[in-house]
Amino acid sequence: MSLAFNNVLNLNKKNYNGVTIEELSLSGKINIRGKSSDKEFMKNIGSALNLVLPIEPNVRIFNNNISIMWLGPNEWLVITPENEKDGIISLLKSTLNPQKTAITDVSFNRTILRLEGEKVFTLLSKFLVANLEKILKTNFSVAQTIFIKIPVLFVRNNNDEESTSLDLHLNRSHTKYVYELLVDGSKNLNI
Amino acid sequence: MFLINCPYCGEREQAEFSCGGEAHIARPKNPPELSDDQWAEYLFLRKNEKGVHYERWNHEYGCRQWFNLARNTATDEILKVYKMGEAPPKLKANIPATPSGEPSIGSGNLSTSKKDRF
Repeated sequence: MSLAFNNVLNLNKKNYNGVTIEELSLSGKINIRGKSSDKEFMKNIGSALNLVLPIEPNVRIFNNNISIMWLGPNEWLVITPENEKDGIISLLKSTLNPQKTAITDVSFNRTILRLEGEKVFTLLSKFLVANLEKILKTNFSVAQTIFIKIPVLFVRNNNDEESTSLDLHLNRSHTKYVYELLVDGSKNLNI
Repeated sequence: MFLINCPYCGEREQAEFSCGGEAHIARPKNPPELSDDQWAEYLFLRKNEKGVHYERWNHEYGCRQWFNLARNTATDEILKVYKMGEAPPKLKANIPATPSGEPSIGSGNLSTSKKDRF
């Protein structure tokens, strides 16, 4: 039986002083753990997903449907369309050695807020010490960090020359709190 | 708040990391042959130096990897970050004098009177 999950915030895309915030609809999120030094593991994943797992830190790779984010030297997050998730999990489980890998469906644990606009980094810098603009320079970059005491994953969607678009992956239970703080922080962006 | 340069992820704020104590403490090869004092020294006694201190850190809210870090305990300056398994670098630290003239090794910890372990 599959569970039906709605979005947490149930709000339309809205502009707050130059930053638009929207919650994306549910997508499949699969956490994969295995050793990047294990050639068989890397080869099998590559053949199952048609993508090679990124070994370079803070990087994501993608094709039309699937994105793979680097979370650590031995950990990755795969984002899939919701309707393809179960098929991909079954495929991964049948392909990979269960004693050497862990495949976990974390789709219902997290949600994604999309932040867009020229002042996205200005808004985020109110809450962060590390310079995210430097870390998330290209559209292939991701960064795990703590944002207002909450573990999150930032994903850059576009290049530096364009207006910024970031996806903020976070736990569902923290979403309202983060959203309200972002809206509050955006109030004096035009000053 | 200060920044730590994770050898995997890059610069992140210190709140993302947790310290795992002194680094480069090797488990004795034959524990049954050790006296209680030797075993207690391995388990509990740590250096408490004023100057270069080699520590293990975990990037808990990032890549979740362990790594080593050399820190000047007198100034909190991070002198070097290096991966697990790498040899500790020989470093010298600037140790500012204090009005009380405290010793470079903490007087409260007897084990610190022993020579470097590596």
